[in-house]
Amino acid sequence: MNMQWIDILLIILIASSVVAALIFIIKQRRNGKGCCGGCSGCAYRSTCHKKDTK
Amino acid sequence: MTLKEVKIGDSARITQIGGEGALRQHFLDMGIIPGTEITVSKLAPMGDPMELTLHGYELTLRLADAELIQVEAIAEKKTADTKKSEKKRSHHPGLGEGGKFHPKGSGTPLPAGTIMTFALVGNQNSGKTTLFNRLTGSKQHVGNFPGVTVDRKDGAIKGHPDTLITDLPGIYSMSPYTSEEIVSRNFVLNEKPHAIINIVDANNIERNLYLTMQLLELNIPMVVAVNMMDELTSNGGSIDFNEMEMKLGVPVVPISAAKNEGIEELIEHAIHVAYYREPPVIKDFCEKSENGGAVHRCLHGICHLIEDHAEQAGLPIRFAASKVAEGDELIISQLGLDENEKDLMEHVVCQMEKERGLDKSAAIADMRFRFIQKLCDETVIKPKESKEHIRSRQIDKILTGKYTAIPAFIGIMALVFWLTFNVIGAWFQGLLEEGINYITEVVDASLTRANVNDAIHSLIIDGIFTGVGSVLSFLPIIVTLFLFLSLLEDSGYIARVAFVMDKLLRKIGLSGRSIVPLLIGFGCTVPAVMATRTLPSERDRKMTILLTPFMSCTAKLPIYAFFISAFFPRQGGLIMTGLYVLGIIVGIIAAIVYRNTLFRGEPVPFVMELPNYRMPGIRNTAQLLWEKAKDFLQRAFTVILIATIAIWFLQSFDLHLALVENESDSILASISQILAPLMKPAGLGDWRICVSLVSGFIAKESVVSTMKILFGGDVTAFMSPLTAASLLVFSLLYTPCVAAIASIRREYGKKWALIVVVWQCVIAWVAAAAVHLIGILIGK
Repeated sequence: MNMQWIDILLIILIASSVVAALIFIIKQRRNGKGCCGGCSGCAYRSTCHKKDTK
Repeated sequence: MTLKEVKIGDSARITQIGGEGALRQHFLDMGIIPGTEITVSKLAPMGDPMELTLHGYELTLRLADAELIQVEAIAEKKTADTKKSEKKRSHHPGLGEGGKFHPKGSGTPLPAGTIMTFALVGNQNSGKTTLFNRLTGSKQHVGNFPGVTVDRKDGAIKGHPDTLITDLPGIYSMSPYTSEEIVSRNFVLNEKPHAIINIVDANNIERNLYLTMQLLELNIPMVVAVNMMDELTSNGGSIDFNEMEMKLGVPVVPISAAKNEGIEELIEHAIHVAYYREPPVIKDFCEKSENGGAVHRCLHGICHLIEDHAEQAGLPIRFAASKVAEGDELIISQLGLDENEKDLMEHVVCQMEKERGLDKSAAIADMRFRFIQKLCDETVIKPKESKEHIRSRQIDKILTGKYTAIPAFIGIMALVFWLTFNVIGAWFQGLLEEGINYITEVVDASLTRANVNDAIHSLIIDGIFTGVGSVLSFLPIIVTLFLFLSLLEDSGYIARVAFVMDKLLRKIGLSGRSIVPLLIGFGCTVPAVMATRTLPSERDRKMTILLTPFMSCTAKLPIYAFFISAFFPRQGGLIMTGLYVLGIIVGIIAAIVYRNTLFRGEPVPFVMELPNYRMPGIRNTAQLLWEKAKDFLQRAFTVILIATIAIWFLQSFDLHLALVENESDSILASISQILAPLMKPAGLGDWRICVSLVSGFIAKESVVSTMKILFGGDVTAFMSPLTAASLLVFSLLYTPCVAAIASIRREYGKKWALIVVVWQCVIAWVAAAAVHLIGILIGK
């Protein structure tokens, strides 16, 4: 497979986006069990996020 | 006669309260006590429940419960005293201010470095969360129906980092009736905050002060914040705060949380009483001279008898004495009284009942309401009927009218869906779709020009752009539907829907209150499951939780819209409505099955307050929409992004990690071949459909993005309209996403979460197979 610098750059970009997304999801899930992710406007947020309720 | 027999518009005086246990106590706590004058305002469209006016507020009650209340007819109800123009000028007691209890700067302050904790306690719908947002600067969601807050929320008061304030679910008394009320009571009793901020609705002060009196008995420093003063004064009412402060023995501060008035003064007083540990001056409200002093002697006697036990159990003596007199089993067991002492208490209480002529619970509630009545007579100039109330009555003539309520409900819901799918949401969606297509074309051309590797090119365009882009275009529809649901919630209409629908829901074994979580379920199943916490019985809670997955959530919209536009563009509105109705019908059938198997018995009584209609706040609504949009974008660029890349990878490579020519040789095809035969009877035997449905378990939007990747854009070439119809029905009914299942697990346990997953899949499979079979038969 012939790889150019642009291919390597794009692979790095996609890989770092996936890592960032994964970190985001893990952080969010670690905060609360059963958090759907739609918590910032949720009236029931504190049921998932006991510590981070401000 | 009973309350049930009172005609609409007639008034009566309560003579006796029947019933037993928690429900009876709840009646008493809501102010339904002997001697109270009550007016029957109306009956719900289906003849049950009834709406009553008492103590200046509206309450709904089922006819079966009204039958338990004995009343006597009265010629004319006493009208509220709106004159009382001549008032004596009262002295300001200055409670909660420096230099009153002790010289400024002295007293017994908390040790340096202590974080001052506050509990924000009040009746439901009294504006606690609005005040919490003002105090802390946070942006918690507020609504206009009783029970928006179902759990505690913490935050520091703005500018005071050494404080921690907790917003608690609304309660009517310290005798908890629902699970959210237990949260509040346990917090105040067990966590012992340094001070309580008791929020009281100025327009409904008599009932609100009932809780205040019980809080005062706790001997915890307290400030009473009288909220919605702007409404009271604009309707000609006023309160003598100096006199009220004197009579209650705690600082009383007028505020308007919505208009940010009086908040600074409230903070000053709250911090002062907490810091200097200034408890209420008065805790004893039973008059020696009242009704021969029976209640007074009984409570004081119990206070002496349980003093040592209360101290050992860490309970405030006066509070414990009241609860013992009321027969609160939880408190009695906490006190650890021996048999002799219990016998003694029973004799004391029996004697009080005999002398007072009322049973113990009614006698204590009566004592409190008498004090409140006296206090209000001396300090409150009641407003004329408020503009908000007049407006609410007029709107209710239509929205809860006998012949207009059900058509109005159907009309409003139809309008919401029509505006969402055909007008506002659809227009914005078209616009966004064009934008996404344009960007995709530009990127595609740029990648081609740069001669990017074919596999990477395919990953970006066929994977990421097709997958994430297809989900993103549904953002306007989802935000628009949330806008309308939030407007209905904030206006106060949802509480009316519960009132109107109670009789209908009772037929399937639920109470009208269940309508609130079920309607929220049209937005998202997770908050719907949480909202069941407002239901007072475990039976109703569990049954409602099991029914929420039948309410089609907004995350399924992209699936419907995608297939409708591809296969049934002309019948779009009809099919979309049909899917929602089908979900409701299957839900009703499931409810009937549950009622006759798992959840036998009667639904809980329907005792609910109807709030005035209010204009939804622009800020609150805009903030909610922004948050929803932000969350949707976050999901699209996190969960959906990862899912699309994973699907693209599994579809493009074989087990030896070599690029495949034919997708049927891919890893994905190999794995999903196991599922395909199982789904064949439902017409969904294509491995690509199976994969898409499995990906929907992570997030429903993912079904569309996966399909787009696997079918390469045009699904009509690979699928018949009949398959699309089966798929739509399966998507509507099959297991909710992982987040919803996790919330069911938390509320109901692991076993039931698993049962929901399997049960929903079975129902969906049967329904989809039925559609497939019927389609084949018609086709023949």
